[in-house]
Amino acid sequence: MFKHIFRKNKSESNKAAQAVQREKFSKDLDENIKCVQEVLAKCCDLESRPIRIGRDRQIRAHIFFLDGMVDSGFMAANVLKPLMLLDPGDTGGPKLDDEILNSLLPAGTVDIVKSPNILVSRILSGSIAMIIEGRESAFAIEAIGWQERAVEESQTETVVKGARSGFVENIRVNRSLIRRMIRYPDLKFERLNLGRITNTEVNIAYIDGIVMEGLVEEIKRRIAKIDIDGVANFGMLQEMIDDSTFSIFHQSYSTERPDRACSCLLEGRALILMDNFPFVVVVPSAITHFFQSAEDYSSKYVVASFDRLLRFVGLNITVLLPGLYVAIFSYHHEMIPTELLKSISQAREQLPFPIFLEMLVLELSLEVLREAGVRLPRPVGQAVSIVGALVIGQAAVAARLVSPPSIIIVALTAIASFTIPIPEGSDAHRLLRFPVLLAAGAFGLPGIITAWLMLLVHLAGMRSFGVPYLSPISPFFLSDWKDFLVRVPSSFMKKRPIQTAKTNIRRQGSWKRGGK
Amino acid sequence: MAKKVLVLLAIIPLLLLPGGCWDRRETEDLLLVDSIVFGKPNTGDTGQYRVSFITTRPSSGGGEQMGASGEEGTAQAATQWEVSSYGTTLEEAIRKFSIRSPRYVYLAHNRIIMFEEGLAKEGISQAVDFLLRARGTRLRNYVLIVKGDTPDLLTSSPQFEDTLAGELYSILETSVGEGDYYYPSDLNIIAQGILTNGLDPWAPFIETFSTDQASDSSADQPVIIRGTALFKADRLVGYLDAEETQRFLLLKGLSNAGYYDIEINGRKLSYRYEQAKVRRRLTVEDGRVNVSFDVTLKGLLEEIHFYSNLSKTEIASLEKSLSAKAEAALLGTVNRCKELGSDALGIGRLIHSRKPEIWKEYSKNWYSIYPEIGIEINVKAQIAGTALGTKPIVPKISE
Amino acid sequence: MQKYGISAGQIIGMMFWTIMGTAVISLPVTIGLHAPRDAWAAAVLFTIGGMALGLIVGALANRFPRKDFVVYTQQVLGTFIGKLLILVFLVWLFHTIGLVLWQITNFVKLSLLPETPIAPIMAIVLLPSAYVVYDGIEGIARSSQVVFLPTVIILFFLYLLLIPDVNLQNLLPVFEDGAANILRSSITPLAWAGEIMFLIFLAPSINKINKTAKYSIITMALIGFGGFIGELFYTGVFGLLRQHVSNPFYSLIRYIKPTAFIERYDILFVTINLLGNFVKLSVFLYVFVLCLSQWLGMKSHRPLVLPSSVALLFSTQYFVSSPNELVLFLDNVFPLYTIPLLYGFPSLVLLVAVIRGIKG
Repeated sequence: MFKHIFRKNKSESNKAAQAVQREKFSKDLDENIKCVQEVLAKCCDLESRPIRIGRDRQIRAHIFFLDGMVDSGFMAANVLKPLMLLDPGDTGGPKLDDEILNSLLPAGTVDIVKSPNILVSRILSGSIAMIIEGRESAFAIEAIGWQERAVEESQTETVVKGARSGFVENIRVNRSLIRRMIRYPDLKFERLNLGRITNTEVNIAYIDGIVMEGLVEEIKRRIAKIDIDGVANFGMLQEMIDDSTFSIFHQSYSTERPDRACSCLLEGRALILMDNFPFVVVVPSAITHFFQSAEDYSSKYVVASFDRLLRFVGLNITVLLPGLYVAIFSYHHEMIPTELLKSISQAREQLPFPIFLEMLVLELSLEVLREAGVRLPRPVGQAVSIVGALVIGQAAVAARLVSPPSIIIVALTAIASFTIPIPEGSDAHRLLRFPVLLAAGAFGLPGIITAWLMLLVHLAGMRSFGVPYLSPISPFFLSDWKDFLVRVPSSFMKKRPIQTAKTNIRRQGSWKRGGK
Repeated sequence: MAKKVLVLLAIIPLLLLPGGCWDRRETEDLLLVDSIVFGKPNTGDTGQYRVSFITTRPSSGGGEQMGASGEEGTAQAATQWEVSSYGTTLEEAIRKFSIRSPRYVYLAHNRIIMFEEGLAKEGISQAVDFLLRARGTRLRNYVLIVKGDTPDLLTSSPQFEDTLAGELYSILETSVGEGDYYYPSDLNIIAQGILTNGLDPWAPFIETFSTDQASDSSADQPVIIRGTALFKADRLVGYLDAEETQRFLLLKGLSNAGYYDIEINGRKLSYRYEQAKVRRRLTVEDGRVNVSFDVTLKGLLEEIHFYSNLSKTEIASLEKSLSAKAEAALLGTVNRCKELGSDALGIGRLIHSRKPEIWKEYSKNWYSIYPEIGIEINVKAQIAGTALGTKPIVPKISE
Repeated sequence: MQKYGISAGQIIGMMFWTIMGTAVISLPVTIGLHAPRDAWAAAVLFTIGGMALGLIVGALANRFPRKDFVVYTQQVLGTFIGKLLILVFLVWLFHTIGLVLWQITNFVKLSLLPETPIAPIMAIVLLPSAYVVYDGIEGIARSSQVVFLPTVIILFFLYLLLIPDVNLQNLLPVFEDGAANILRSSITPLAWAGEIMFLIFLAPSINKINKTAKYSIITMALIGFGGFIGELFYTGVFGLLRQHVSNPFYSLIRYIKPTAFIERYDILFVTINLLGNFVKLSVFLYVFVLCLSQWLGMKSHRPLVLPSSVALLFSTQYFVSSPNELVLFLDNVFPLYTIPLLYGFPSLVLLVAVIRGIKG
């Protein structure tokens, strides 16, 4: 039944679009003008003006553009001025088009467009449209000139040492940022459009010859399948192309850093760029990404390996520690050293709540604090965190509502969850500690093990674009471990990840490193 | 895919449902037993057991307390709580206690098990069996024998730690090696000794310290480990004092440090060995088994009260007299064991493992054969080490 | 989408715990019934039988590559006999899964949750296995591989910590129990080792199918080594007391001398045990469900996972009444029918296939 309704909606909306738009230009200029104006009726940002061009200014033409979308200085200098002042040579013959295209317009991108539909979409994406009398075609001159953010330092993935530039909202700038790093003809950008209404530009970037076989086709297939009015966020795109939709994990990951994106390209992965979003989506992704950060490659391998192991420990603390604490202190008292048990039970004398409830409430309030801190403006957010963490925590202990060890555990969990470098990972793991906590509260250690196994099984069965999510742990690939929980010196990473670069494995030739 | 989600969603209520849970017990509901003392009441009522518990009484002011003036209250130190309970079975005694106790009696953190002399003389196998079955007790619980009365023991107070059990535990844990006057024995050793033919249990024994100074206030009597208690099967048969314990442990291969003092011409010499090697040999003569212990000691002279130039020959003669002294001492200890009828040295097991065919005959009435077994001790004491370099200091004027 | 077969590491990871899983819980007592001091010998002897069976399994896999055992059994032995034998195997398997589940549950109950009723423990023990079986062989293989190395390494580390307490005197005199007793005590583990024949069912998914025999022999060697070390340490530490200790290896791990760093190691052992037995239970359940679905001629095993798990939950509680009874059962009755079935069945199929000259 739902299918039926959806299908109906789809056909109706298509019909509406067809009613307004027309397939072809007519010979009559006024009719063409009317056609465009009809489509873009009630758009107060549409500017249009008639001009006359040609040798004796005899030829009528009309120009459309959207106010704010085009660079007006550029328009005056490179479109209006040559058209209105210069002589095209031919007067209205069939060669006029070529003449204008080839010698009159100093703009970079000029296209001859055959249908009003396309023309309108070009106007909407920041082109100047020019319709000339008596022609069944129109010119689309790109003159994008809207206000945008400059290339700035990435906010989500900051590094101490490393490239500073981050992606911006403009897809062309993002493309250029990638292209600047990989000056190689086989770096391809394939263009798709997504969203019936938003008509967002989506690019698939990959390096031909390295990219995983069949990956690009699969991405295209998945994106092409999507029938949606508009994609409001890249996260929606990520979700829509995921293999396991219901999983708590994203099976792709997003980055704001061009250097990171490029290294992913070189690993045989593909990027999905989306206009208007300063992130690119990397597919396929795997569990390795939970531990890799851009910083790792600028620090020495020992330090990087240490940091990665720390992240691994941090991840496990985040997921398991609250559960273990509850399980051990309310089920398996025999498993802790006697002295520790004595000191903890001293601290918990005469406390009102069982340890499970205490932890649950504390963890939930921590989440509340975090959420509040993130949503509020930055200075206020800090104040909230300080009030929350210090004052409430202190007061709760002083009022003998919670025990100090519990506060320590909760704080440790919170801090540990920040060690995971990508938000896709830390968000999932932050949430995962609740099922573990519940399992611990219900069954103690066996409960935790069951919960952990469920998670393991879930991860073991999951794939990202056909690549097992748990690789290189399982299926086991030794050479991929060189860049996983530890990072070996760069000169030892001779191979690309086996899963993604199946056909073109060698990254480095056999050269002798260092002074040898 | 959708089914997976259903499965995942199903877990959460499934886990929430039994949320009260059968085994959940808050730490503040536990009574942590540090030590159990098994004994017999001395009222003459046979068939009764007395089980005493040494537990930690939680202090009332745990955590952080803010007074009205803002100063922090000091957390009181945990105090010891001893209590005894009686019953015709051990289980009954414990059950009676758990009815009295406001908290759940938790044995898993028990560290020391003590047997009172009276009970130990009658046999400890029932108590050991009970402990092996009891949930939570570990085989690594140390075993001590209490010479004297439990009440005396319970009134004596610890010197350093919070509780008596804690103090004894620390002594047993840390003091091994310092002279090796005792070595901890645990439930595993005791139980194996009871089970195995040709190997008897042993355990250190403790006594309340009763010097003149300490007896002024009876409540402050410390407890010290005096030596080793020897068992015959599961019955206590006698004690070895500290010196004998040292020899005993040396022969068992558990200790490798100790002292021997000898007298030469009325002057004393103190020898401390720091390495000891014991080789056990079996020889069969006319169907009679002889056991010999070849002991090699390496050590140094700690104290010499007479002049010696410590030349090679003198060292050799000192070594000889030391060896003789050690031989006599070790043999004395072996004979003491034989006298008591306890094969804690494991002579039977030695025969069993080396000569199984002979053991087959012996095993039936091992305790009657054991005192007849010839045991020979050969000691080779060696003087080595730094102390050799310096000649002894003796006053220049000799009398 | 690319299919990933089972790799060598995954097979070893799966089969190691498939056999060792419950062996860690209940075998020591059974072995020690007849030869307490020489139990380590029994722990080595049974691997020979396992290896021989591994060769048969390898030969079958070579003969019928990429073909399911249930299918070619019927081809070789005739539809009726084939179906009948598979049915017998299915009944055996169902009962044995019940025993396995009961042992794990009982271990958890005794060591961790003494007051919890048996049914919820069973449910949470079975839950991840049912989930992974639903996912299929890839999921089982991968999760076993993840579980294998850490658990084995930690187990090894725990044994290292026990070394100071091992008294080799306890093993003397060697072979005192006599050859007959040692052989007798190796019968039950021999039945355990027969479980290596489950590889026949997994063979169609193995990457290098002609190496099945090699894989099973490596697995058996590892298991033999593990059993040897385990029994050696167990007798070395506890001597004759070994027969009087409930939860054998658990008590052994609890006996580790506390260090300043970690005082208790129980938690590690319980975790290893539950993880290992998750693998065991998953493989058993998968083989059962797969076999049943093929026997019924179904295309997918998935619809059977839930009913089988529920049936197990309900029936297992009636299979065993007490741990003691289980020990006697495992010693006296279980090998009687298990060994003929696990060893005889594949051998029979191979023999008839060779005689009739049938190839896959």
